[in-house]
Amino acid sequence: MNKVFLFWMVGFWISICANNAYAYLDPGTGSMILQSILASFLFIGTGIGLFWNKIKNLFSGSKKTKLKKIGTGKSNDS
Amino acid sequence: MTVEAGSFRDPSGQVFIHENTIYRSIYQSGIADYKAACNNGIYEELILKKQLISHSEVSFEHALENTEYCIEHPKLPMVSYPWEWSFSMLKDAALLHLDIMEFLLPKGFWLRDASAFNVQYNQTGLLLIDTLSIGKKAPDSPWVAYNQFCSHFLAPLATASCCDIRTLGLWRNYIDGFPLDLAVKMLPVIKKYSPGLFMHLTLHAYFQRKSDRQEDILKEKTSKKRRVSDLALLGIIRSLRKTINKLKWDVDSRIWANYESIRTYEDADVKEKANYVKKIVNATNPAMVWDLGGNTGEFSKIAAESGAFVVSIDGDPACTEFIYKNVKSTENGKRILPLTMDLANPSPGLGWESKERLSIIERGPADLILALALIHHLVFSANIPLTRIAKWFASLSNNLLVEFMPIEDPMIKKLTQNRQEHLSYSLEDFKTSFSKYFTFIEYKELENKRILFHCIARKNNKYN
Repeated sequence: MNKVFLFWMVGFWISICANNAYAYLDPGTGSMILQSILASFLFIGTGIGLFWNKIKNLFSGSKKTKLKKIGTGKSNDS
Repeated sequence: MTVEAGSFRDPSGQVFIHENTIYRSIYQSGIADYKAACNNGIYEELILKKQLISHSEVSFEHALENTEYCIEHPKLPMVSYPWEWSFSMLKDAALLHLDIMEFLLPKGFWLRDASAFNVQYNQTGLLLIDTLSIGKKAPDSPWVAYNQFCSHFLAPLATASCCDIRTLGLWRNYIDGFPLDLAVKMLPVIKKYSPGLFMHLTLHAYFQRKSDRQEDILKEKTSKKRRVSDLALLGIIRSLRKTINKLKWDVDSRIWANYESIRTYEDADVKEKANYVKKIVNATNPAMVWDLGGNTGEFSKIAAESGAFVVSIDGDPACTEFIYKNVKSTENGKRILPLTMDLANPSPGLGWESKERLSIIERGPADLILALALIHHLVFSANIPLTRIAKWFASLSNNLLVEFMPIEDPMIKKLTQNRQEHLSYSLEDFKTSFSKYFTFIEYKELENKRILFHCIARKNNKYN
């Protein structure tokens, strides 16, 4: 919980301290950095969500699992 | 053969048109992704789910130079752009991207780009039209189209939802997507820090600014590979979906919700007018109808019922939102594409050489134009002379069904109550102006003194 609070506080601080930039030299890099930061937070949330679904499926008696292994990168031609 | 002006930016392929058929050339750099998607049944499944435009491989001797594969696509009834879309249509286009991403990720694929221009409206609903957007996913990599998704979908939807619906008009200026810092500035403080928008817009804009600092240009950087696991990427996609789903536009529905009650004419007149519209539509049997000033789509529906594809154009975003939300679930409704456009300032050609995105005229002609209860607005609200209105209509279609309102009509009285200048507007002025460009075929005078004219454009008028 403290980690999340710290995340918002740091984010709040940097967003009010930032200056304007009217020339976008490399907007892609910023997006990549942000995704790698968000990844650590969202990884946990998504993992818990998927695990919870698995538990629910177990108790609902459905043999058909709705979960799929995500992003194995394996395909027929590789 | 014509090369499609909006598809030159993708190095893996290009769209061209030959004898009214749409083809896509696939170049060397696009083959690996194309074949991988074919072999894994990705295209097949997405086409079956009506999320991707269909295609078939053809051998085409006149294809563009360096073509390795050539595929044929069905023709779309009408190309439209995000600055013309209603709020919900842009939102659906965003959700379509996320649906496709969630479908692709477990199969080891993703969308290489997330451009709003890659989505178009077909008679089945919204479709991804860029077959080559689908590519093999780079392992443990951040989503390459994340920035584009946020600037093409999240930023415009957030400003329209949290600030003002009219901010969607900024699309015309920023055709590569809304600058994220500008979008953040427009958001109310409380929205800037709501969890989803904070993560994907406020922080995103900050990190963009941080990586754009001029003083960093000459600094040597060690290239650090950013890693995002597949599960985390799915988390980002789901977080985007949650954020987009929360964005809503509370339409000020007083105008169109009460449209029937504030109408200045009687039900009997409406019925008579609707019957006449039906008669002309059936007589002309058009495949494509443009209903200019379509309002809540009352007459667009009549035209759609006859089997035509109808583009219902109105300047009021509440009207296009109303049409999109209310008719998309019905069979005839799917043949209506509502577009928001100020008819006194219609969509121009935009982008590279002003040709990348077509003007509304270049997307014509229509087989029939409906201009019902419209021209008095153009004359009295936008000061456009009748002759110029007639000329513009003639450039859009050969067939026109136009309504003339007498100056005594309560609607015109309301529009002119504070006007000092004299504008030429009488039945005689109307007939003189329109006869320069059109031949009057027949007319119908309603009980309320409004007159409907069916006209056909003169082929070689001397006024062009």
